[in-house]
Amino acid sequence: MPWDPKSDEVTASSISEADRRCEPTSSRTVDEEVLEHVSALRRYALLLIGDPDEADDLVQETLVRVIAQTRSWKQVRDLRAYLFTTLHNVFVDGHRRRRVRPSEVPIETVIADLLAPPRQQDWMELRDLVAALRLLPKEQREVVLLVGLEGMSYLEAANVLQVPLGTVMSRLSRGREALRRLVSQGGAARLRVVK
Amino acid sequence: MKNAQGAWTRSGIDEGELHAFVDGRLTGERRAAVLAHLLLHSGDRERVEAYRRQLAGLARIRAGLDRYGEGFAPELQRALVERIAGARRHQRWLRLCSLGLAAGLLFGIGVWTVREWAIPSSRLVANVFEPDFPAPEFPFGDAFGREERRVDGDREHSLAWFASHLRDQTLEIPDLRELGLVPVGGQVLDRARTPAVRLAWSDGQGGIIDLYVGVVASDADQAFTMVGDSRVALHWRRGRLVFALVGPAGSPHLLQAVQSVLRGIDKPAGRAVPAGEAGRAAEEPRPIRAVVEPEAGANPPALERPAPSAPAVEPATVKGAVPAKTL
Repeated sequence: MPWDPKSDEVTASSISEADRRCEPTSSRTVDEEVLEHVSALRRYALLLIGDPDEADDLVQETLVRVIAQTRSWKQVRDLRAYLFTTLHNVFVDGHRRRRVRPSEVPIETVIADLLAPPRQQDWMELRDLVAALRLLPKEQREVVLLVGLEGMSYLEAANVLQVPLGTVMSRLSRGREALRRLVSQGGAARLRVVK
Repeated sequence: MKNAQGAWTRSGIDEGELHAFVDGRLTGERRAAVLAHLLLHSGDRERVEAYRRQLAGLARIRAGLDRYGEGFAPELQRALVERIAGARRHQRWLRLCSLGLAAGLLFGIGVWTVREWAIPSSRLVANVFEPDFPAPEFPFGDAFGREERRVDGDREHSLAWFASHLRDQTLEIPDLRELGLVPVGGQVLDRARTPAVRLAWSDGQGGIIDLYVGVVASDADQAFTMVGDSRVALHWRRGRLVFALVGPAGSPHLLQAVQSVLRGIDKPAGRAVPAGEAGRAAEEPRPIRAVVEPEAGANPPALERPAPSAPAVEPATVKGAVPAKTL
């Protein structure tokens, strides 16, 4: 039977522990739930924009919009999807208004500083990955991050980005392939530099 | 199958399935198919491995920034917490209200059901006494409705007249003296649709129990009806005879009378009593058997003075009141 991307429900065995933490459960307090969502928004925005200050501005504006403009919380079934959709809308609006200024500090350095000190090899791989992400078209970067970083299903990503499922699959495929080539080229470049 | 450039592979695995495999969203048959495909296609296998490395790198970033929101915009986070908590409290309250309402409805329905089943109340009695049974099928007309109070009619003549209208039918008048009921009169029901009489007993305390007896040709069944607010009528039919026992609702005498009457009716027909002895019907039970065909167009005799609401038939016009030859 052919695979149907609409039925890409994550099976229990394939849900990572990080995914489970994102699911609203009765055992978590609302404070913990909000902290997890804000953490997700902030890291997603950081990798999406590549500039920590701009990313924080985006998340702040998102939170303000959610708090101020949400009239009926009864209709918010999936808080995570709601927050990410709002962030996407704020991002798209802001992107039209202004061009993101180039970060003074490279994002790969920022990420490396934020993370616990990894092994040298891991650090280089992460740096290459983050650097390559910045080179992806925005649309592909969004999908790669929502699915790969935040563990959303293809359908959830489609809902957040308000695009058809096929568009998500297409962007994911092209984004990952572009990322693979960029990372591969970055590694080759490093090797050339080392040599 | 499409490869990374959008082309389809020959093994029927498309690009979407490769990514679903990478993301752990394939199970069973499709996962096995992708695995088989990757064994045979090193190019796709290398791509999949690269994609998995990307995912592993993103997972490390995620794990490292797991609490990246800590201390970020605390006022906004607090405001968001309040909004969400308030909304959930509201939803819980609504859910509780809904549950309470549902429970109340269920309780109400339960109580109503139990009451419907449990009460031997007047409502159930009314249901019994106001049935779909076609009381109008019985021939007594509006005799009950007229609240006949005259009980001093000539019982013997009433019975004699009635007996004249019986045809191969035995009627046994019950003896109700053992119940403390004294016969106090009889009446021909001149407004009845068929030959009918009323026999009355008194309980000595002002209570009157009436037995209405008529002749019908139809197959009317047994029925109860209420007469006014306080009296009840039991109708029943045996062969071509039809009866109605009327008395105070709830009176033990009435219930006993019903049993007694029914016992008498269900007994095998007894000895025929001469018409001349019909007057002793009050003293002892005896069957009445009509052996004389009534004359066509015969009018029932008025054996008592008619009630104001029931115009009398002049005695002079009474015809056909032929006593039975043998009773």
